[in-house]
Amino acid sequence: MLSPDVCPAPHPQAAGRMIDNEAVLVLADSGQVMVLNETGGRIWELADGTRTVTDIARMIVEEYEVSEEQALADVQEFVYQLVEKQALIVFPKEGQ
Amino acid sequence: MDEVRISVAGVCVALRINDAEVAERTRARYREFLAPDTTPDFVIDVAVHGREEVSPLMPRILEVTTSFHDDILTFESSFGEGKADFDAGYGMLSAAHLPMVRLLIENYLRILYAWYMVRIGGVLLHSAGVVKDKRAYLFFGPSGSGKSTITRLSMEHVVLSDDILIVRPVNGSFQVFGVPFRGELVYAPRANTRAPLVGIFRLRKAKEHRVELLSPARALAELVSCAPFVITDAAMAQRVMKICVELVRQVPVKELHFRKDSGFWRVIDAQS
Repeated sequence: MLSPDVCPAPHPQAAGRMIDNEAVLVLADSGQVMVLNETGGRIWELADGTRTVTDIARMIVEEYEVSEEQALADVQEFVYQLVEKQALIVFPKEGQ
Repeated sequence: MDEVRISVAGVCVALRINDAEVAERTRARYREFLAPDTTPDFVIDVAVHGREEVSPLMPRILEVTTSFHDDILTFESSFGEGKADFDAGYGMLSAAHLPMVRLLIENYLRILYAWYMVRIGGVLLHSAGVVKDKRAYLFFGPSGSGKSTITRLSMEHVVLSDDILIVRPVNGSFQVFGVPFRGELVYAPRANTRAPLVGIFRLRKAKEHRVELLSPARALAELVSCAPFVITDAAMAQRVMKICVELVRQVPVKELHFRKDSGFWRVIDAQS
């Protein structure tokens, strides 16, 4: 399981763009293109390298009707999947 | 040195070829797109080495790799290599074997135009294009989705291409431009013309004709997937997406389910 204390950020080979609350990602190395739904797109937007997984989950709780526990589990899983696809990278928060 | 100038989608390339026979064949090949009096945006020196080392009848796969760094496009294949400096407007193409020169020049030009279009706000798309009543319709999808079939069924109209087209904005609205590059229908016309883009259709083979509107994100993803060469670079992919977002905003993208008869035009016309 991905640590909730890491900060996700776009992978250098990934390009993303929001359109009508959804995100379209292009993975340059493979040429793969994918669409993220509204919550997935929101997590992608928030994964800018300044927030931890926990921070992102807290913002998701504020914006969507979901429990803190559920949000954290979902964000962890989603970020893990995007890391596996090389759409995101993760690194420890500065100072930790 | 023999010079052949062609202009595609308003971008002129002067090919300076060191072989008169190759130059003549190139001139014939791109005759609808010749632009001898146009100031070139690019000057490309084409050097042909060797003549008969490879039989033109020998089946070969022309594998091409490209990269783009610091505004310099690099092109490599088993039959030659080339570069193009976008800032200088200068490039070179070195062809190792005469029989493969035609393919090599064609691929080099496809790649050059693909990358350069993004730089100037356009995009080269794997798509078929038809002009009907002075309005352009673009049909796209991966290989096998039906681009050539749609083209065959639209020969009574102006066919721009069955394979590749350029879309770029002119005075704020997107226009579709014909290109000389060939697809599956080798003898299909490739009109050197342009028309305002009014319809974009993702193709799906089906048993009946119908259209469905795609969500903007889905439309964007489908379009970007059909931009060859350029989305293998993250920064360029970002630019392609920016262009395609504008495109999707201006011209709604629909999914065209069609069977093999020209009745799909009635469905399209009913949407207009």
